[in-house]
Amino acid sequence: MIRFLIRRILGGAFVVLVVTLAVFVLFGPVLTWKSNISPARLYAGKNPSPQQIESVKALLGLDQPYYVQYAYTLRRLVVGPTQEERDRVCPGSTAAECDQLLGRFGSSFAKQRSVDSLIWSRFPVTLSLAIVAALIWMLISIPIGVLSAIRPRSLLDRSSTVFVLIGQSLPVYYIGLLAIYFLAYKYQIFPLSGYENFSLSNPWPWLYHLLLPATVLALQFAAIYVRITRSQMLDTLNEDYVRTARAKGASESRVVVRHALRNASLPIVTMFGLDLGLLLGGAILIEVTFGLQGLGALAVEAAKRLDVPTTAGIVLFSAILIVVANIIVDVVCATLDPRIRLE
Amino acid sequence: MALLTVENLRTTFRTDDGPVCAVDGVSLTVDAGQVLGIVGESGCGKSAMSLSIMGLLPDSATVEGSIQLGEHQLVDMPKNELRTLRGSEVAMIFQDPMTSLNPVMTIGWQLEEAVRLHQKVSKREARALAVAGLAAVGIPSPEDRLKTYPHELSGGMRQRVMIAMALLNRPRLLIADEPTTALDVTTQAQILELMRDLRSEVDAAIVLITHDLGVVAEVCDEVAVMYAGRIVERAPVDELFARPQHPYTWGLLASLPGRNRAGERLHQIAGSPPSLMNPPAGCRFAPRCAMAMDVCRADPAPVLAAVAGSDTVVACHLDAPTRAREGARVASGEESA
Repeated sequence: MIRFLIRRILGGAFVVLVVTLAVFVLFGPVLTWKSNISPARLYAGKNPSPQQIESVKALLGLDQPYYVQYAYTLRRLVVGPTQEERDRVCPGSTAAECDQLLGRFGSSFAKQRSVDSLIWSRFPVTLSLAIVAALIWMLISIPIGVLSAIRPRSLLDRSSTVFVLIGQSLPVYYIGLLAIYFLAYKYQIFPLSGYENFSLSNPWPWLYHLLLPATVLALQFAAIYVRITRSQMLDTLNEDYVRTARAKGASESRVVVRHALRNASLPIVTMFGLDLGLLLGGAILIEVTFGLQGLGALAVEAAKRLDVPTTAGIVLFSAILIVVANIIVDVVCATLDPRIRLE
Repeated sequence: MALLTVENLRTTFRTDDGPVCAVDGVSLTVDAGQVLGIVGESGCGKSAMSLSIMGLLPDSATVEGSIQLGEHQLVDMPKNELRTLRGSEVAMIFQDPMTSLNPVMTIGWQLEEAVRLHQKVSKREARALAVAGLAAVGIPSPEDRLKTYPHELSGGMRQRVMIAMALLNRPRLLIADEPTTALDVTTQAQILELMRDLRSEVDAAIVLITHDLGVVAEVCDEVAVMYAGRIVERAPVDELFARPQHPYTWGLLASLPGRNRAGERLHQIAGSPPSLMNPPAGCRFAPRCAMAMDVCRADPAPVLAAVAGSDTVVACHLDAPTRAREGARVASGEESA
């Protein structure tokens, strides 16, 4: 199992390396070449003089050849900014002060802040949204999926099919706006928008603000998960070992939960891990619809303002999250199914 | 007194194209300590019959008639009651050991579950019973095997585990549905030997379902030959091989690879089994029978009747001398008519 884990982590690190290269090339040379947007010009502010641009280039290390720039980017990502970089970008300030301006993901053009501090200030919102939504959709879809697999063509199965269709066809911003209009504006059950920080002593305000956006987000995922749970369970319930369990005299609930569900859960766990990883990189539509200041909203802002380092930082950050989610999924699957540990 | 008495069992599946009667009026008895073989080709209703006894058929199936196991009447028994009998009074071994064990649970977990579903014992006692069960089916170092997963065992080992699991609660009836079909020949021989050894030890009635007459000859006391949902001949195993009575049995015996016909093409029964959705009138084998007469193709179908001077019963319109003559020819290895 340890060797399995090490192999997965090394593989993940390689994927991240490839992503950094892709991000660097896309947001550096390709962007400059295709759109004439020079990062230095963007950083220098409105109507900069050529001298100003040159000094910004030197400041950001943009006067170096690309491969040197990439090497610096990589080093900064792995070990953080060096003292030499700090002295260049924020001379005369302490390390803590400079961290606010320059981080592992670089420095924002639009705001005088490090991309790291921007990401970390937004990440809790996105994380909270994703976790609450994930809880809701799993709690809805697993029981419904299992029950419709046990009784195919029953009333429940048919109504869940209708639910799946609705959930998959309606865009989240449409359901979101309807929900806001009726549940928040007209009947005022939920707040219109906004986010409260999580606190252990009283998590209710946090949950209260998240419930509506998370539910709307969850509906769409629940639809997919009902489908996959149902089909996986239908397949598994036809397996020989399920018949064996029945022949042993196991009760129907035991057959379903202990014997079938665990076997059917592998693809569900896989999908869940990847979806969660993807969501943690920002749920743009939901965040914008519900006025949540999460990573997705940050990405939209950054893109609008041509804030290249922030956009690139979010892309890289999301990619790392997905790679981590993948590794976790692999480990969970290997725990669930001993056959995976073999290869 | 027979342990298992099946009378006039009819198992019907509802399908989109109409009802299919997979088992059509089967009657049989098995005594404790006896092995009854049921032979017939694929789709003749062998498995549907065994699943009817186990109560493991899907909801689309209806079972009529009578299945008396000891003091229990299994037909129309409430599901929960039937469930408590499964695995304790009646156990089953399935055809494919590769897929019949849960791949994500250890062997130990699955064996202990079987024990604890029916016996109020501690985890430790269940474990001890599991170890003893594995030892009884000849699995070396059973303690260590408990921690392994099914994919770490060979097919033969897995079938041993299945047998051990079936016998853990000392069932009175054991149904083995083609227990050796999915195994290679040497493993088959080992499993058959194991079953032969066990039958004397466990004193359970065994119903062995197979399409392999060689298996029947090795382990069974009595044989029932099934064709298209009905039993066409039932006989003590020596009788069946020495004096087969039914034309279908002749066909089966003649198609065995025999020593005296090496190099020749094997015999085959012409045609294919009838559709059970729309079975022919009269004797269901008549369309494929070389000796079929007009009476065979008309209702009523022949019923099982005793053959004079033996314990065999057969459902055939042919007269006794003809059956005796043809049967002797097949038994001696000559090509039948």
